[in-house]
Amino acid sequence: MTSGPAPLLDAESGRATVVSLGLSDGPTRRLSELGVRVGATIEVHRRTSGGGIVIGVAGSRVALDRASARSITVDQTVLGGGA
Amino acid sequence: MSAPEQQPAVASCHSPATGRTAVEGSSVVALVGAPNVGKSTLFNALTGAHRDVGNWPGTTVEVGRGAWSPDGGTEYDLLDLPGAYSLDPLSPDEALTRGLLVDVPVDERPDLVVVVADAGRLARSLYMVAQLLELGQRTVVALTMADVAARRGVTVDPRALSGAIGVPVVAVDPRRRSGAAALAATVSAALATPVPVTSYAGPGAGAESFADADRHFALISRAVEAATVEDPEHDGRTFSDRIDRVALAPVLGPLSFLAVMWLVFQLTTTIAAPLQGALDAFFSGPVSTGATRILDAVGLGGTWVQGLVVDGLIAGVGMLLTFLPLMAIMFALLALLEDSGYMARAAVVTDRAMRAIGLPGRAFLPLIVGFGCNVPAIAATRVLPDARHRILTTLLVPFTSCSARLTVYVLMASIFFPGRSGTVVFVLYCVSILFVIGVGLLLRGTLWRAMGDEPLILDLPPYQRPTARLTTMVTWLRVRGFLRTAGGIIVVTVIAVWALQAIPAPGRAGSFGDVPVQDSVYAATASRIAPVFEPAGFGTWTATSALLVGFVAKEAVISSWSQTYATAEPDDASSPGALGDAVRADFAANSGGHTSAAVWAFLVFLLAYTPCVATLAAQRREVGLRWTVFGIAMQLTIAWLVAVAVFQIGSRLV
Repeated sequence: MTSGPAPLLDAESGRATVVSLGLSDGPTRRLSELGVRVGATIEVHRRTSGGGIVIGVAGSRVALDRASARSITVDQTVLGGGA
Repeated sequence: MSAPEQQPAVASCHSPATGRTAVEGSSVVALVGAPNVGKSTLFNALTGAHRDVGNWPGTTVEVGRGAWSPDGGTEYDLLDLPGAYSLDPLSPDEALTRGLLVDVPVDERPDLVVVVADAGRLARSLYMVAQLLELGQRTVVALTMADVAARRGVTVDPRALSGAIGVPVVAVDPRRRSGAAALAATVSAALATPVPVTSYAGPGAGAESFADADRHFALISRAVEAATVEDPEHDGRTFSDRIDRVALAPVLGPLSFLAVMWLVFQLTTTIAAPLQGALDAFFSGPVSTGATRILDAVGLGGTWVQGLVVDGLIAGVGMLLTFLPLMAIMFALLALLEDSGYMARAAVVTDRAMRAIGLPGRAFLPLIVGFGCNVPAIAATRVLPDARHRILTTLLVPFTSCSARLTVYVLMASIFFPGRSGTVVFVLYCVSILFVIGVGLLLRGTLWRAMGDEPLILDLPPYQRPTARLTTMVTWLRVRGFLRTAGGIIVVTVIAVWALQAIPAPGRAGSFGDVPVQDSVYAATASRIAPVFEPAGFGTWTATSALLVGFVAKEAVISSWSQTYATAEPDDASSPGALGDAVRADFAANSGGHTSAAVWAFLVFLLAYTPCVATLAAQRREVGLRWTVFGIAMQLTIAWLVAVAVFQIGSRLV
């Protein structure tokens, strides 16, 4: 299990808490609207063929590209992958 | 209160599907909501007007408008605004929605806004509600997709939600047409209440705007918590997730994407080709013979009138109709892909490739629509938030091989590579993709070197079984749109070509309507241009003339050929086989023995130069005259260079 904050790109499947977004205003706002906010719980799903990642948030699936997934920091220690 | 005529910008000429509008003085009710929540479906269910509805973000690019009369008496002027997650616009679509709700004077705003909210994805749908309330807008929430949410073990209590967020909430199911009466009653009651007081001070900037957002999100979280019950026993992994395990997988994803695309083109060629042949035989056979007989009977046989009617009018209309099955199949398949939800996955799978040419994954939508028809594809570039992305995509769309070009590929392939049409067409579509990538890289490396990457943040809608009604409707709408925009051009072009062929070139023998085609103005013009194509192996006036016509519309290439060869050899017109013989002989005689190389060069040129005048019109509308002219010049240059390369290399290899 990953300990402490780490890039979303490196996260294991399972739950994670968003620590920071690290993106510019536009994308940050769009992510917020979709439910990806600091403190929110998201579900890490799978890598996509483009090198990005699919996350589950507020009942829906959102695909992110590799660079965005690298900018977003999540913490999996509290909730844990299998918890 | 806004009277209908005060919003002329809303009633777009590109909403042919919109039905009649409400009587003057009706209350204006606007439907808003995030993409994919069933907004357009609700609009259709309420008004009976059929709009283009798809399972794809940004389907409603224009504003729909129709009359909603729930009980036969009261009538509302219903607007269907483009999908938007919030009132802070990131794309022109969202800007349009904001413009109609926020930026207009208070008395021109809608009397009431219905926020369409997805029960399964409540949080994101409610952000708009929070913003509208702050704006001082009468708001009602229509809760959709309760069935989809229930399948995921999520139930939403409308009453609890209403209590938590402070606006009326009504559950509706537009796909099954239920809940409309309850919605009507709620809207009517809400319209009787005074307009709420605004506390909105305009879009905040930086930290302030994020503080606003945090406040909204806090409200939303409480509301969602109060109204939603989640079944803890329910397996979070959905049917869509299981499909996505393949559709988005590193190797299987792109492979499935290629397989789907290959299937689409196999279906279009194998199903459409025989239908096309039959319709063509019908028009060039019985219809033409019948018309000739009638003209003979009234004493006009053998005159220029016969030429105009048979070789101009009937040939033109006939060609338009033979083209229909192909368009219908392509549109139906695209509609299936959109409605099923696969299109969004395709955007994810292609994101990296799109990124390589400096475009976001979203640009995939206009480009894939371009494979059906470039004209709506250019309109679809509006889903892109960045103006430079829109210009670049608009310049690249013409390189996506539209279905009009497909007819020519199929004809050429069946003439020169019989039995391998599907493969030839597939190769050309791959070439088309290579053009998009190559030209994209070229433009990115020269004109937009400083352009930044836009991140891909794409909402993946759940897969759903496409409904026959929806698919048929979308297909019919697009076919009708095609007939409207292209029909006139095609018939006029065919008649114009006939007329040019009927006028003798200066210094040649013959009179109007009675001149061998090689002595006509048409042949003279084509002959003057033909030498340009000698290095590409098809420097004949016959091939050049087809390309001249193709500048106007690719659909007209084949018919112009059948006119060209028919007039030259009257006996040949009776069957397509004869046209094939004529084209084959022509290419064989003028390519110095390298027929295949010349045919491929011709096909590649045809693929890459200006698609049609309708596309140019659409480009001009979206990016202006300067970029349109740049596009024409760029395409002609690239098409010529690559065609020459294909012939020069091909003729040395084979």
